[in-house]
Amino acid sequence: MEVKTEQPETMREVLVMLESRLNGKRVFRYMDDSCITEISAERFFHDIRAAAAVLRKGNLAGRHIGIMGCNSYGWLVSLCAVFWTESAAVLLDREISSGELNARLRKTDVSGIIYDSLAADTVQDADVTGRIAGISMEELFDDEKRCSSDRSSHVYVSLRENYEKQEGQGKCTAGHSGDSLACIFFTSGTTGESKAVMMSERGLTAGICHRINNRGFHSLLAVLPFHHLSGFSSVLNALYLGAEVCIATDIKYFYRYLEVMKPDYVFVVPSMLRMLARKLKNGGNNGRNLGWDLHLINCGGADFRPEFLQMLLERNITVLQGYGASEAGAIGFLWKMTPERPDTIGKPPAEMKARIIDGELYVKSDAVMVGYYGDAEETEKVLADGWYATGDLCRMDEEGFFYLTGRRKNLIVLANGENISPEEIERKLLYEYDDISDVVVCAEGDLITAQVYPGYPDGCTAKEKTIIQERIREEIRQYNESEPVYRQIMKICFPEGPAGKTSSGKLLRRRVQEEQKDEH
Amino acid sequence: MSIEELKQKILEVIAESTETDLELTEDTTLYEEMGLASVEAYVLLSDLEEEFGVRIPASALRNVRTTGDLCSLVIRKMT
Repeated sequence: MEVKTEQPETMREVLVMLESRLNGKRVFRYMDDSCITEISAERFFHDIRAAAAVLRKGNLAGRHIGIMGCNSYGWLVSLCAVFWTESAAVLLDREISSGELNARLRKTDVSGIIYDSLAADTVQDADVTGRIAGISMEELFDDEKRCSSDRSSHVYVSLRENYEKQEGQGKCTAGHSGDSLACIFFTSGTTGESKAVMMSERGLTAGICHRINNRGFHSLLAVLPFHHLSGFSSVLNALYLGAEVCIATDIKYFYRYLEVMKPDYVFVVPSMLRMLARKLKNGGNNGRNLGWDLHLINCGGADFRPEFLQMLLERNITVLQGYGASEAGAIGFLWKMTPERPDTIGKPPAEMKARIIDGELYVKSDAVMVGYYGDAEETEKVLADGWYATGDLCRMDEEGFFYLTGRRKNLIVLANGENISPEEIERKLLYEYDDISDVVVCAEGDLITAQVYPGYPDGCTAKEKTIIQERIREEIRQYNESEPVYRQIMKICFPEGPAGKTSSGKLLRRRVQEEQKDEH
Repeated sequence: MSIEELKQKILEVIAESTETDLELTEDTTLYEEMGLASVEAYVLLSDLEEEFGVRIPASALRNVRTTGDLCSLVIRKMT
C-alpha cells in the first residue's frame, strides 16, 4: 500500500495516513456513567469502513449526507465514514427545531441523514424520511440491528462479512479531488437566516494536517460541539499530532471528565474558561487537588477575558488564545498568552496571512471556505481572491501583534462561542407574531434582550397596552421553548414611542442599543 | 423531608455549585440575576443529579428560568 507523506489532498487520504500512523495506539476514550470505553485505532478504522459500507449500500456515497447528534464516538465514525465514501458531510446542530432542520436539509440538497437517539424526534418531526434516507446512528454501529431491520424508509444492511472487499484501501475515485466539496456547516447569517459554509477537501485537510499547536499534549478533552468546525477539526488535528481524544459526550459532566479521564489539554470557550478558573483557584498545580492533570487550555470562539491568566499560570497551566472564524476554516491565530500582552490575539501562524483594510481584519490560507452553498451574492460580500473578510475590527502594533477592537457586522458573539444573528431572531419574531410591529434584538453581557415595539391600535388605552404586552411576553415564552437556552430572549423591554428608523425604513440598531445602555 | 425542606436543600446545592453571592429565593433568575452562562447551568444539573440521585437531561433546561423552576424540575424527577 502506498502511504503519502506529503500533505494529503482529500479527507480520505488523511484517514489512510492516520490509520498507518496510529496503528497500535489508543485513539479515543469516553465515559458512560462511570465506565470508561477505550477505542483503539484498529477498532476506529474498522468501524469507519463498516459504516461506509452502509452508506454505499444505501446509494449515498458521493452525495450530501447530514449528521445530527450530540458529541459521541458514533458521531465521529459517521463523519469519517462520509469522508471515506467521498461524500459531503452536512453538519447539523441537534438543538435546531424540526422546521429549521427541514429547511437546512432542503437548502443543502441532502440525500440522507445519520442521527442519534437524542435527535430522532426532531428528524421524525421534520418529516423528511420519505424524501431522504434516515440512518439511526445507534443501529449503524450495532451489527445485530443493522442486519435484521427491514424498515423500508431506512437503510440497514448486513455487511460484516463483505465490507473489507468493498472498502479496501483504494484511492480517490475518478473525479474526486482536493477541489471537491467535503463538508457543509452552518453559521449565523447577518441577513436573517443561517448560511451554509462550504469547505473543500483541500481546505479541510489543510485545517487538520498542521502543527500550529506544537505544545506536545497527550490527551485532548473534546467538549466543543462536533457540528462546529472547531469541534471536529480539533479532534482530527489531535489525532494528526499523535494525541488521543477524550470525548465529552455530555457537557453536564465536564468536571467529572477532567477528574476521571485526566486529559492534559482542553479546548474551551470563554464561559467554560470562567468555570475552570473558578475551580482551579483552589485546585493546586494543574488542578491536582481536584484530581485533574490539566496543563494546557486553548480558549477560542469569543473574546478572551484575561483576568484569570495570572492565576492559571501560577497553577502551571499554559493558556492559548485561539481566534478564527468558521468561514476562515480551521487555521487561525493561536497565541500563548502572557501577562505582558493579555489582550492580543497574537501573530498569524505561518500557514495563514492576515491584513487589515479600513480597520477590518482579512485572512487567507488554504483552509478558507469555498463559499456559501447556493448563495453567490453573500459569498462575494466576504470572499475575494481567497481573502476572507472577518467582519472583526482590528489593529496591529509596531511589533506585529494583532488586537481586536470591535465588530463590523451586527453578530452577537456570546461567551459560549456561539454567534447569534440578531436579524435572524428579529425576523422570526416579526413573522410569527402579529402583535410585534418592530423589534431590536441585542445583548446585555451574555443575555439576549429584545426591545419590542408592539403594534398598538389607534386609541389604545393603557390597560389595553398592558394586555398586548402580556400577550407578547407569552409569545416570546413560546419562542424561547423552541430554541436552545443560549438563543433564548431573557429580557424584554417595551420602549416608549416608535422605533428609530432611517428614511428607507431600516432600523437604527445602534441608536436603540445606546438607548438601552442609557437605561442602565 | 417536606417539599419546603427539599426546596431549601436544592437552593443550597445551587448556591454551592454556582458559588453565587446572591441570597437565593425561588424567584431568582438563573441567567439574568445570577449571570450563569448556559454551560454553567448544564454543569449545575450534574451537581443536582449527584445530590438527589436523579437524571435530568440538558434539554429540560429549555423551560427553566428561575431557581424555583429548577426546584420543581428536581422534585418532579424525584417523585
